[in-house]
Amino acid sequence: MTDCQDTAIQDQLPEFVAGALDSGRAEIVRQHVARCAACAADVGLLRQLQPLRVEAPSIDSARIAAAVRAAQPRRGASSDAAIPSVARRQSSRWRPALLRMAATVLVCAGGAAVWQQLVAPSGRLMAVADASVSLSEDTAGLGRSDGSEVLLQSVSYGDLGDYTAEEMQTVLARLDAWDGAPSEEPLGTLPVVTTTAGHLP
Amino acid sequence: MEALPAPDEAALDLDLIARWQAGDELAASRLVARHADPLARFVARMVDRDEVPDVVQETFIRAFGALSGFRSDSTWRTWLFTIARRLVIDRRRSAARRGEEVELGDDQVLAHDTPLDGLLARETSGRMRAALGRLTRLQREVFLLRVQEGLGYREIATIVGSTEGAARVHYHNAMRMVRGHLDD
Repeated sequence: MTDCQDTAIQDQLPEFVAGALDSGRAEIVRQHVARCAACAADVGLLRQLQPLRVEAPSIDSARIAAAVRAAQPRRGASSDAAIPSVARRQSSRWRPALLRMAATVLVCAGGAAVWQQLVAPSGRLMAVADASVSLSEDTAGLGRSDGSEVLLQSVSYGDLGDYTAEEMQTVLARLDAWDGAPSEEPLGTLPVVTTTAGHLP
Repeated sequence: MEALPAPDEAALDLDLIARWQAGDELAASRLVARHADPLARFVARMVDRDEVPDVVQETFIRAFGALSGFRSDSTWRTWLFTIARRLVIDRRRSAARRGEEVELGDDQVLAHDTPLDGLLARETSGRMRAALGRLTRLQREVFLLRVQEGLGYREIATIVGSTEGAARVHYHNAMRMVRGHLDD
């Protein structure tokens, strides 16, 4: 028996036997097989092999799916090939807010540095104030020697090493006396203490 | 024998993959359920029957874990079969390193007695079994993927790490050899 030279037909024989061809293509193959002994033999062989499917044990698909889900807890963040994931959309939404927060931190840090520059010439500053409150030199007993007002923007008790033992006791006593009640304006009772930088007069 | 996957079937798999990546938990269940049985049959040709469930589960876990490398120019089924074949090869090599088994090459997955041999011995004539037994291992693997799983040459080539043309040659040579043996 000579081999068939029509490889296009030969390639379709498995699908022909399986009934997977559309009617038009199946008819073309059927007519070819009717006059081709080699292809007819192949069709016979394929039909013999058809029932020889390997028997596999039953598979618990639900258990496998659960194992897959358990093994991929962060799939949205890591597997972003086909479509935008929920995680990636959330990430892009948060990015502007994070940038704004970073900018705020930088501005605050810059402000603190400017503030330190302002108070440095007059010595130590130990005062607390809200950003909206200005304290004059007389009110706070601190500040610039020219009497101009200083806008206090931060809380600082200075370097504790600048306190003498006596001054430290005073600070602690005032802290004990200060209830820090949030319902009242705290500025009037703040335990502000001037120091001698460790050198009593 | 299974029919070749219709285009809309492959498209459905791609849609399910996209839904899974978007957070649809049920999409994973459908992707597993649609392919677990064909995958199990494929794996059963290469490993002992009691190993099949473990290999199938590991295949799905690896397939989902490597979805970023999945390209839609192959089908989900081809992707699964390819991973399963490599997984079996890795297992055999690991077993060989432990001294449990002689190491086999990539083209020798069906090297020694497999469940298929037992199946053929029980369910078909000795002549058919002998005819298939005379094929090289790669020929037999290609032949059975084509005949019994209904895979196309391109899919088979992807799975066995060959070319489409080589897969076609292996198939036709196998068909000629089996037919010739049965005619003797």
